[in-house]
Amino acid sequence: MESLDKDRILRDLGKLFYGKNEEKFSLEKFLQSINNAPVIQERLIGRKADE
Amino acid sequence: MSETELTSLERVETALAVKQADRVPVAPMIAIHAAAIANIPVNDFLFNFDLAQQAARKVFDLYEGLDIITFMPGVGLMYNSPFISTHSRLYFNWEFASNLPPQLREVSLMGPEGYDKIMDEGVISWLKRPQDYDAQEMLATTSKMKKEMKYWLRERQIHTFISATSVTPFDLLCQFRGMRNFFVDLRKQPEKVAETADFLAPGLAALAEFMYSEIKGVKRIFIGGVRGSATFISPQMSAELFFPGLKTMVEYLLRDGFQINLHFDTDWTPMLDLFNEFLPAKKGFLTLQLENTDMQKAKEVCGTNYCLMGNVSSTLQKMGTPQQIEDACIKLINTVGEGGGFILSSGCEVPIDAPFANVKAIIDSAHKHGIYRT
Repeated sequence: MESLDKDRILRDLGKLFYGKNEEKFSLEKFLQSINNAPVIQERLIGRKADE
Repeated sequence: MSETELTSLERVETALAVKQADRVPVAPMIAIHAAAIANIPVNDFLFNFDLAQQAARKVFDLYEGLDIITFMPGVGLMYNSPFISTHSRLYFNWEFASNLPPQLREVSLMGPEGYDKIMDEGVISWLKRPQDYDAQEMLATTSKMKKEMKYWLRERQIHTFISATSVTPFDLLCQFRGMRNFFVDLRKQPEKVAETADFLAPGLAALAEFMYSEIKGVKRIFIGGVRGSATFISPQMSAELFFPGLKTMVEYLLRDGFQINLHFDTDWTPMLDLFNEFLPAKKGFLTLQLENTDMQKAKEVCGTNYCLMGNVSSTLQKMGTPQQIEDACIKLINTVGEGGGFILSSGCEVPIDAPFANVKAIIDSAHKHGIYRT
């Protein structure tokens, strides 16, 4: 991340996504969270109808 | 100075530095409007990057004379982002159709105990995965966006304006809680709202920096703000509950050398003093893009340190005539444009169904009436 303080950014992101006790954000863990998230119904309303 | 002396890049950078360029830069915020002009379904524009890219390039050229591409080709990333934002369909109930802009079906996603849950468990608790969602495809799209930024900056010499977006903690909490409940909370448990906003602010700034590090491009962050304005709450309440979170974010980003575009919809006129009171006076680093705020007043109060951007009304863009739009642009150019530090634009994004001639009238007005003659 160039001259940015990567550790601070990842720590602050960890708190944002996983709460105050989280140490650091990792993209790998985050992608896993997406895969494990509850699936919701398609919201692209009208797509098939319009096609 | 003649109009041909500066490139679009130079013109925009001069205005952002709150200085006078050769003419007023012009950049109505064309996003989903591009789908209508390019005649492709909105869903394709949002979720098929290759089609969006083609449409954006075509529309940019059709509108000849734009100084900024805004975020035309990448607007779908905002709705498709797993990184929390008020526009993400992975957190909020956005609904999509082929011929309409996305619509938010706002409901209360958390009870009054949700504030503690956010601080204890983070916002990931609200993440949902749409059936059709592919995280790897989203990452691939991010890579394509990175290349597209380079194309505009290097090959076309056109400003891309921002590389990443974020939102204020106040707006995010309002959308989680639902507007009605949130505004009750502002009265019943303002300390809890303030504590949670304070908790979220560094992470929301860090998120923008993280996205920037993935995309690169210009070092400017877009922060959206809406519900802390006079359209919704009093200046006193905004000072107590909205501006502290914004201040934390702005200071965080400024410390890391970012420029910031405060894209603030609705009416902030009674709050203009608060921008000076709360935010650092860092000339050349802050842009205030306003929708329904009195721009003349904004120039008086904030014009020393902020580049101002706006604000041909959406209603006029959709319902007005090219002449009415030209008249509105002349008024903005003559008042807000005086001495530089002004970009002629829409308030929020250009309405999807604004007539081509009306949007073109904004662009042409800057070329015709916006030339500085000093």
